[in-house]
Amino acid sequence: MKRQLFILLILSAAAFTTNAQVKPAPPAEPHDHSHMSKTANDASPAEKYFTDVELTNQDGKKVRFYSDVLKGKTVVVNAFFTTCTSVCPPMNRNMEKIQEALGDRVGRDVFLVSLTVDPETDTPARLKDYAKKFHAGSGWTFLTGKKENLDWALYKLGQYVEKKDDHTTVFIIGNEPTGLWKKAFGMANVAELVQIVESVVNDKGGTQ
Amino acid sequence: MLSAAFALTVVCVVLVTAAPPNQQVAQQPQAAKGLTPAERRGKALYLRGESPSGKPIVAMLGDVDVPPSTMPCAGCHGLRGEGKTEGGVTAGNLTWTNMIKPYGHTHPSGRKHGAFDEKLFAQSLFDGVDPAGNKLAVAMPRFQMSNEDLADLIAYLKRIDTDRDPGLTDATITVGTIIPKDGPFAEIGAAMKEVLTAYFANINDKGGIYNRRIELKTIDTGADAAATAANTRTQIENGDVFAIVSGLSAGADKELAAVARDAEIPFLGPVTLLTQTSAQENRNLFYLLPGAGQQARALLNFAAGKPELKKSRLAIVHSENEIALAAANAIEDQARKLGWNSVTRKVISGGRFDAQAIVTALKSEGVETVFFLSASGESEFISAAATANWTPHVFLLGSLAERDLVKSVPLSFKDHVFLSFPSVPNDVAPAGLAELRALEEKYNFPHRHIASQLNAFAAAKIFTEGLKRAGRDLSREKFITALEGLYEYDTGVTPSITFGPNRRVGAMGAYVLSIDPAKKDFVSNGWVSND
Repeated sequence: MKRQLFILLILSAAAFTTNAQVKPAPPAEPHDHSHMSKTANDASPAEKYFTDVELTNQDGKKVRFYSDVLKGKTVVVNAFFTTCTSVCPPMNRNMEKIQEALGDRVGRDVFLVSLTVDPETDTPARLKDYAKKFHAGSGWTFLTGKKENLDWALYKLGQYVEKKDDHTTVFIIGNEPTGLWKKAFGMANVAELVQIVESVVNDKGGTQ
Repeated sequence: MLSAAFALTVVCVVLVTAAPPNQQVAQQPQAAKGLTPAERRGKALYLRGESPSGKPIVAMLGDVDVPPSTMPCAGCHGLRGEGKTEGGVTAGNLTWTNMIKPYGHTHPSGRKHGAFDEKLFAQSLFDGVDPAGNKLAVAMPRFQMSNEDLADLIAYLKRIDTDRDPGLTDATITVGTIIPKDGPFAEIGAAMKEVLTAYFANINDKGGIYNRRIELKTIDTGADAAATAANTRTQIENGDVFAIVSGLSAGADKELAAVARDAEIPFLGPVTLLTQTSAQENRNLFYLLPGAGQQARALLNFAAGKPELKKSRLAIVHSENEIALAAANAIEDQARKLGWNSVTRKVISGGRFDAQAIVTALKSEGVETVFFLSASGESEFISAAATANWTPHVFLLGSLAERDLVKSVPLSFKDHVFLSFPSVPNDVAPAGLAELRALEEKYNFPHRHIASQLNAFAAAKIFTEGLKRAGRDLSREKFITALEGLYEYDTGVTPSITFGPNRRVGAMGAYVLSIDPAKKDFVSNGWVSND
């Protein structure tokens, strides 16, 4: 039943994004080769895949996308920008509702992550204000940074877009340690979203 | 030429100090001229989700009700009802002429339906279904609102495609400038107006901007800041002004910033040292040159770049006028950012200034770097320090400095006195000056109060550039976005101008000049940025 629901959501997400342009060409890989914290051999598959680009959170603190944001965590990730007046407010309202529904498990069992697609405008100070508007707690991180680094992180999540208005309304829900990643339509019913998030949090790994 | 820079900045200081205490300006939404009352109410609902009747409006998104003010129609359907696509969601074109097309609509998603009428429109708004009974996109909230509000909204949608921003017609763009009609600064204001008038006349002679003539309207500064703000507000409301450019309005900075914010009118190039630079709070203000805060940060950055001064014991001596306070706060903030631990502040209050006492105190504290921010007293301070055999590095805002300072600095303070300037004579390139001279000849006005005239010239030039970039389908919103795209734009008479989504000061930084006491002259240390 859950699986059906999930497939349904993926389908609706796909239907929802049919208006979006053809997938853009991938962005250039960041020049900063220090973004791998270890030698490639030591790195986990997820680290190798995501690499470890440097981003900046809403407090102005530098964080590494893999080591600090994803590693060892279950995350719900979306792409947005603060000056977006159309789909971002309702989408992030849903993120807020997930935060409410999961209570103090957010920041412990699951982490919410919002990446801007407009780093030029979205300074840490703007992200901070935006976070306040959505009552974001300590388990919800907003990320900006150098455009090439953000583009790369978004690209690895399948969320890279050339024009900011093209960003999707998909939530990427991933359990980094077990490697289970799901997608859900970010404006779906919150109870259904929470179910999907919980299914990813509770994943024990192994073959599905 | 440097004295010209002095003259202008001195004007700002005088205007500021002459201004009475700030008065609260009543906030009034701007009336959209030419709209009927119903259309005007509908516009408020369309743009901001405000209920004109005061009766509740509910917006439901799924099971969640969202404040209508966070999801007003314009957010998705655009300021002009033109519709747009974002995040894969296409919000349709809501202009009434489009909605009632008899052959109906086929949407990109394949959804088809016939023409809307008022009843069917209400049904789509309330029940979330189109005229064919298809569900609307998930991102479209279902609304509940009173019949009056609905009628107002429809009235506006019938008018939206011909509703332009104020001050804009098919043939004209009206721009305001705020200058004193009489009083001590009337002549400077007149000199600036001559430049603006000639600049726009010259543009109009060549066919205008996309076939629109630029018309200049002068707005008189009042007896005080509140009166200036009130005059400006009245002109905006009654006079159809698209934007405000340049002018001599220092002293009413806060009040005019509030007017620009409330009326959502772009204000480009106000001459002031009290810049209000948060684009997030007020995206309508664009300054060409750095204010006291930006200059102060540049001075501190300059000090931080000198190994002997980096993290030296730092003192800020300042008076309590607004400019000195703005600079002092900026210095303290920037010093903290750059890792200074010890910053002492000494306030000169009520005009009582005992140079010797301050020198003794600071010397005994081991202070090595002094930011001296006051409209007077620096030469007294420096000579008292020299007498006490103490030679700290002294930093000053050029705009506040005494004109004769360069002659009074003792020899022992060689390379120890630094001043910031927003602009230097070298910024005025021969080509830029020639352009202004050509205007003077063609339109027959005198070359006077040159620093002020250059400022007006630069503002007029950037205003015109912004209009060109915004295109024929002009709106205030498009104009602001166009200005935000200006990158290292060369006016020919100022440092290069860059704006951005988070940047409202064109030249962010300052020139730092030091004083050579032997030659009694300034020595340039180049432009220092704000970052």
